[in-house]
Amino acid sequence: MRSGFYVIASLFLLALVWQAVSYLVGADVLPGPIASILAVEQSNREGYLWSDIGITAYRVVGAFLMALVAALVIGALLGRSRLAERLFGPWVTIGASIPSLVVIVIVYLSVGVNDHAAMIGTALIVAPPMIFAVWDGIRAINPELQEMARAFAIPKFTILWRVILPQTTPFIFVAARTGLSLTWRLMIFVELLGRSSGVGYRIQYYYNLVDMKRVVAAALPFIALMLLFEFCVLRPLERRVFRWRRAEAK
Amino acid sequence: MTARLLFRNIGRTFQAGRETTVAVRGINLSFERGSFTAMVGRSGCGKSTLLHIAAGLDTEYEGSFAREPTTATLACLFQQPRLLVWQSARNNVAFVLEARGVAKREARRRADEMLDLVGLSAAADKFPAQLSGGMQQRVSLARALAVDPDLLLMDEPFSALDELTAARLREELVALCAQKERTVLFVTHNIQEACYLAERVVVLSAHPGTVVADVAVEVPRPRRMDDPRLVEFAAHVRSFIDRNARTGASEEAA
Repeated sequence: MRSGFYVIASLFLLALVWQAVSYLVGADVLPGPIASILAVEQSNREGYLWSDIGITAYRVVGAFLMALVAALVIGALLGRSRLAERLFGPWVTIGASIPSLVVIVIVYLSVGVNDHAAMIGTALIVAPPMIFAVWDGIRAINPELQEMARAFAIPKFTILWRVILPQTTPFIFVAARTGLSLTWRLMIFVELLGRSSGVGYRIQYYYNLVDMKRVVAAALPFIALMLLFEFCVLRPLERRVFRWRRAEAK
Repeated sequence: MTARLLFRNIGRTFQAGRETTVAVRGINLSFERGSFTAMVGRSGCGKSTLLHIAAGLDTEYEGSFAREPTTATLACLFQQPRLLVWQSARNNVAFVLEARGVAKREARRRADEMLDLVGLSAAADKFPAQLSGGMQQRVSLARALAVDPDLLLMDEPFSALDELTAARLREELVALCAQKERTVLFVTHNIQEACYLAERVVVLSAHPGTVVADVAVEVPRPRRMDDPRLVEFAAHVRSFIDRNARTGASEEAA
């Protein structure tokens, strides 16, 4: 109940700041919150609101899943094998330092200017930080617990599933959370560069028309969607999975 | 059926880079069914190495080791509780039972029984982080007893606890071991503790670990830590370690 009050208060203050900044820089550059929400309603009437969100969400989820699978496989490999760590560890660092634009352009040119390229390009950029997180998680595995389990003659598969994997979940969670928000922010650029649909395309289109109300209105629903996901799915899930950690704070 | 352990001419060397360390050499020991033996010695005397071999965690040794019967159930207690921190006390105990094919509900019921036995029935739903070090070690003890082991291996289980908690847990261990016959091997560097708990004390020398004394503790139970006979006996055991340390030092000087 109380936390609900603070959420509303926080959002209200943010709207006030937004309105103030809009006032300072001019409503034609940054439209205020009410004007923006009205613009969202207008795009809804014109019928492209939901299709934009749908197509961008499809690409974000696709790219995110690719990056997640890559991070789990590569992160596990780097964490388990000393040889792999020495040979390929530096590649991840190099990959993380390549400018996003270069990756996107090369993937568009080699794969073709289509949805697959958009997903692959985004996944390639998002994967390195996620790999780092998973890699850390594998390194954080406590060998003493495995030893304990082996001493109790616990089957190998059970050790993997109930002793080793649970130790890495906090890190996989971090990887997934940072990965998802990075994917979404990046996808807008990728769409802007080479797709003729989706939120990124819509932003570029209205930017060229200097219709800033519609630019903000294009981004707003997706931001809301991401927040909804954060508060209604991620946070409750996190609270459930990491109950044992909150206990620590007491 | 309780277990019997046989170490015949056991040696173990560790390789770290180019350096070779001989942890133990020429160990001949047998631990009879239902015996409670303590192994004492300075750090580096290879007592944990022997325990690892007994637990089947280390197989890179020379010589021969046998656990009879080979099907004997064994349980371990370590210096650190080694609990699954994301599981409640009850689930930590139930886990080892479930992994052996006990049905979930039955495993939980038995876990509760075991926690009750070690005086933790009120803490069954707590996570390890909510428990004190002594309570965590008790959960670990409940976990070890839950599998009803024929062989109980303990590696300095009380050395990380404060003395008052350790003393209470020692008493409880003696009581729990008296309830059912099982073979116990207890590793410690605390001579007093070894003499209080065990009926036989094996003294190991360091670098490399060899047996320098193997003595029976002939003090009747129930014992008290401050019993003069026990204190005297502990001094006797200590003399083996000191004697060995002196010859070791003179060898190094030469």
